[in-house]
Amino acid sequence: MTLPDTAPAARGSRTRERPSVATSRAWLGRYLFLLPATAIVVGVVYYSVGFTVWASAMDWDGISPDARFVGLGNYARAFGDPAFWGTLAHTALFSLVIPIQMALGLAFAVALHSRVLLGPLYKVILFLPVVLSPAVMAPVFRRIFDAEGPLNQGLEAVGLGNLAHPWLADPSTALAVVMLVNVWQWTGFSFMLYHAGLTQIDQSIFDAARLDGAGNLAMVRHIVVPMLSGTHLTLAVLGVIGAFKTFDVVFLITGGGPAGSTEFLSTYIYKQAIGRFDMGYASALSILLLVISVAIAVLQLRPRGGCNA
Amino acid sequence: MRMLMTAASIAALALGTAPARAQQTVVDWWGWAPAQDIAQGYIAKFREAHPEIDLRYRYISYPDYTQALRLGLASNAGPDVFDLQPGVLTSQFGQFAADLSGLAETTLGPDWASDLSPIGVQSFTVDGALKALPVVLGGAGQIWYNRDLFERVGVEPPTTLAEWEAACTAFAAADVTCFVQGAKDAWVNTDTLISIAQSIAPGKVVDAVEGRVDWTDADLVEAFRVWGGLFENGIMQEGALGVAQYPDANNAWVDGQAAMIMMGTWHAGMMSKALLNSAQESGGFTAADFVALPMPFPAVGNAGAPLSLFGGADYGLAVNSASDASEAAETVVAFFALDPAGAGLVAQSGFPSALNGVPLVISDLVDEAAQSAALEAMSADIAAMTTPREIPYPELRDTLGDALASVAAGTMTPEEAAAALQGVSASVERP
Repeated sequence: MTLPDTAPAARGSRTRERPSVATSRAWLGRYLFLLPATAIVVGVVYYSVGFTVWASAMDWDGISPDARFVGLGNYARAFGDPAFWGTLAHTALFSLVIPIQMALGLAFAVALHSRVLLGPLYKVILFLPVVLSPAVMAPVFRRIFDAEGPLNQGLEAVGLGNLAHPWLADPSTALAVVMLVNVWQWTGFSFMLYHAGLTQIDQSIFDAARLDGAGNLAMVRHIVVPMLSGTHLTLAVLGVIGAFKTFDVVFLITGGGPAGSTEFLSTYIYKQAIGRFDMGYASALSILLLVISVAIAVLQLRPRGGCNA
Repeated sequence: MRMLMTAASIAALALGTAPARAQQTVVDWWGWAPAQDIAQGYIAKFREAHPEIDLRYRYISYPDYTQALRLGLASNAGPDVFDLQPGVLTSQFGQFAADLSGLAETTLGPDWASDLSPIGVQSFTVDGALKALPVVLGGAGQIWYNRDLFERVGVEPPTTLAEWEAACTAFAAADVTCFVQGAKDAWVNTDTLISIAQSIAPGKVVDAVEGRVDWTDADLVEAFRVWGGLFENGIMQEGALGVAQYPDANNAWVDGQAAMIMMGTWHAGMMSKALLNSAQESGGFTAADFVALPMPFPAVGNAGAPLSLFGGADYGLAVNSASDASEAAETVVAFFALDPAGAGLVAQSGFPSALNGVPLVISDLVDEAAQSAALEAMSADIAAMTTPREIPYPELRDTLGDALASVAAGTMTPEEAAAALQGVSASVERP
């Protein structure tokens, strides 16, 4: 590839220019504006990451002034810890909610994109779970899925009593309940992003497709889905990172149980740090969580060219 | 030391006159016990006795207490006085607590230890230093039952595992929940396991905690087997593993839906009509009053004898060694732990005091005769406790909790659970 003839001259002329005092002041001013945010990010985020890296190399209870250096010992312990691998397996299973939430969100967005009677009301209803605190809804879900709860009572009332089950007490169903709650909570978020994305698609594209005889399903398949690829990617990245960071719903509904069947890396880290006073190991797990999250985000963003996604 | 100048004294100084009220020393007390409403009564009485101290209580719910205390003590914004519990809390936070043996000796004399519950003192003693003074004693190894439901169904309180199963069959036939436990919570499962193990082979579980006996010992494996059996023989309610002891299981019991619940001596307040009604109201229930009574955990081993209570201090008060109001802080601790006036206040709110000779008082009993006798017997059992309840090693405590849930869920055999515990136990650093 050859550059246009003007390019070197333009670049050269720029490098030969002496910045005026006013330009320098403007340059300095721009960086001074950045300083507070930079100081906060470096002071809070990067310092915390650095501190966690340091703590991950220690055998430390998190409160004592004495910490013993153990090098990579905590990381080696994590790789040999079945519970750690169990949390990753649960996260992988849990990630199945991402395409479900996306599909439901897209379906609702498409349905409510056109003029629908009471459309704004449906939008509020769909988005409401996103803004509800997990602390508020967790007791409700615990009650619903209780062995004597309304779900089982309903099943018995309609003659399906043989399907009644202690949903949260059975390791084989507890994770599915948590996933269901997550779908309930976050489908509204997918819906909102897709709905916003749909408003950005030029209406003339739909009109042209309609003139060409395209039906609703064809337009969704050939126009909406491809043109919302950026939204898909955003939701996928946020979903996977969210799956790794899942804490509140699990902690409040199952506490990671029964028998560790809903333990996630975040809840496991909390238990190690707070319950077991094992801050060194919890820090190593936190760093592993960070590495995994960043690696997955990079992998997901790469096909689209990184930041432009 | 933070000195609080009252508005009156500042005004008086400004006017060049003597302050209307003496300067007060502020003492910050953090704890999960007593509850906020009870604490208000305590503080009012304390201020009457010690007007020179402005005692301020910050209630922190137990699940949040560890983290709050960790941050408070690590910074200089922590409390002057804080609650401690035997076991993990003492082993971790004891390093921030001043030795209170001198205070005890100054207040009670050289023979001070004989005036306090021996196991209460023992559970707070670390390397010869008394890290907290026990205030309230707590024991587990008992079950609370709803006498009205037992009478309605025509069942006697069970004394053996077989009787327990038979009672639950009778309750099931009457469509009443027999026994309720929040098996989602490790602490209550651990209480149950210790009860079973103590019944099978007294003392062995404590030896295992301290590394003197392997967890793979046949008696302890049998204890795990009995524990798992509770989920299969109709004793444990369906879905117990998905239920928390507080509020879920407790709500079912105070609402009169369940005949029995695994609770310790701290549940004695439910004998009081007022406290029972208060618990019912806070849960939104309108159940009728019922007679709550304790019974020993049914014998499950060959010994056949009723199980003795195990436990120690339910909580004690420690003085932050970095406190700049340590003298006033010690006055606070001495009032509630060593002064019959303060200890009596604690006992009158339904909690057994660790100070000897202070009777447990619960007023407004539903059945004066039956419950007074039960209270008297329970007080004697509390005074006789010798087996600790708390496990001081966090990794062992948590592994036990996980193992119990796994056995209950059927994802681990009793042998596997015991082996997992032994693996952790072998790596625990004990003093």
